[in-house]
Amino acid sequence: MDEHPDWTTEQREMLELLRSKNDVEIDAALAPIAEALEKDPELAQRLEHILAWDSRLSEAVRDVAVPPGLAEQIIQSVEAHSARPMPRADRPCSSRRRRLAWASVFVGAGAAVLLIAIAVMGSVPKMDPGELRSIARDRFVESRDNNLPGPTAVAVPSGFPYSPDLKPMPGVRSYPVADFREARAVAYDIPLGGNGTATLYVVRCRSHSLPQRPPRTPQMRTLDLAIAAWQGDDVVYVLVTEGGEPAYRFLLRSFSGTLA
Amino acid sequence: MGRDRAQPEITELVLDHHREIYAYAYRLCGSIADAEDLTQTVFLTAHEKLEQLQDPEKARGWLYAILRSHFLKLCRKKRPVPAASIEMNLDEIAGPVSAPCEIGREELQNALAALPDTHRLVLVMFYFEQCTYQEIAERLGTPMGTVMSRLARAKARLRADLSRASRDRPISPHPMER
Repeated sequence: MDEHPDWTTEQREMLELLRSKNDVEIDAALAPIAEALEKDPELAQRLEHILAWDSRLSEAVRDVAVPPGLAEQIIQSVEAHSARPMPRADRPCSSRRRRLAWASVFVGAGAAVLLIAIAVMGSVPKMDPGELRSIARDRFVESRDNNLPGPTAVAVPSGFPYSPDLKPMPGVRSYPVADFREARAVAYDIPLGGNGTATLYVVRCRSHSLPQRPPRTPQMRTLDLAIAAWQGDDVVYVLVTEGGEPAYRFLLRSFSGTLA
Repeated sequence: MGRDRAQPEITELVLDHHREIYAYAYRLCGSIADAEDLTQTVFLTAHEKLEQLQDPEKARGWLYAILRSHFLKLCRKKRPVPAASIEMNLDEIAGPVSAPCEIGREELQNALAALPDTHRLVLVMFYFEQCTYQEIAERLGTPMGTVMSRLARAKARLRADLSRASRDRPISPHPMER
């Protein structure tokens, strides 16, 4: 962990993204870090080290030994192929493999539903609001960055309803979340047209100090995500939205505007 | 454009750009054999679509785009890596940052290979191609915020892995002591 727990995730992200100290004047999105850099010499030193790493890594990634004779090998290959049709770089997988893949999806989905159904009978854990938001953010980022396919046509256990405070959106998919610490959870993936996606996590747990309705502004922000949690009937809702606050507010039923 | 005219042009493209295309492919794929295959595929595709290259000055960027496209196809065919095995939470991986250590070729490749494909691609576009965030977002068709978030995490993770590898590196004896 960092030696400065007070630095926010957003500050750490911005620091990583500065290409030079002047970037704060050029890029409006990075401007908020300027004040923090003025006030905190340790943050400024961290930036200097990051920039030094960037410079060294830019050189290092280009430093690759090229196998001798590669150019001749490529030219021969091009000549050999010029007289016949180009081979497809990506062959479609066989129907047997496709069937096996689908079978694995259905078996996996069935197992997930069974596990959730068994676990729903168990106790309801207590979770801190900050912990809820952090777990939801991590699940969202992992799923998005690893391009994990969301299961389709999976039965969702009852008792995990879509929040009545959010607008009903077309194309919403729901599926059980296998790992939300000890709590049982269901995710609703909500497409936002060309503006990214959002996921509503419906978590069966107890928490404290949560509002009864979605707040007007999200309680947690990173550079590209807005996250908010609120209490529902018997469940806690955590909404993670790509596209920041405008996309978050767009999903609220109380908000009548459109998403730019 | 006929093949007879195109042939010398592709030869010229290969001679001028095979080194950087191979280096880019190697940083993305992580193995010599895969990088050679990918480099060859890039030039075969370039040969087939040579008429698309209107401006020879833009040949490098065009070849990079072909390379990225083939790499992403390869990624889509791979089985997704379980998310739990890759720590990409910035709060967890962003430890103290010290001055850069000496970076070994193999250590760098190992650290790159440990990143998810999507993060590695963004990182190589940043360090190798020197792309801006907007260029990365446009070329990958990914929202800018996602690009920035992935890049921030990938950079922190890469530094952490390289620093650890440097600390764990056995100290070689001084030449005079051998």
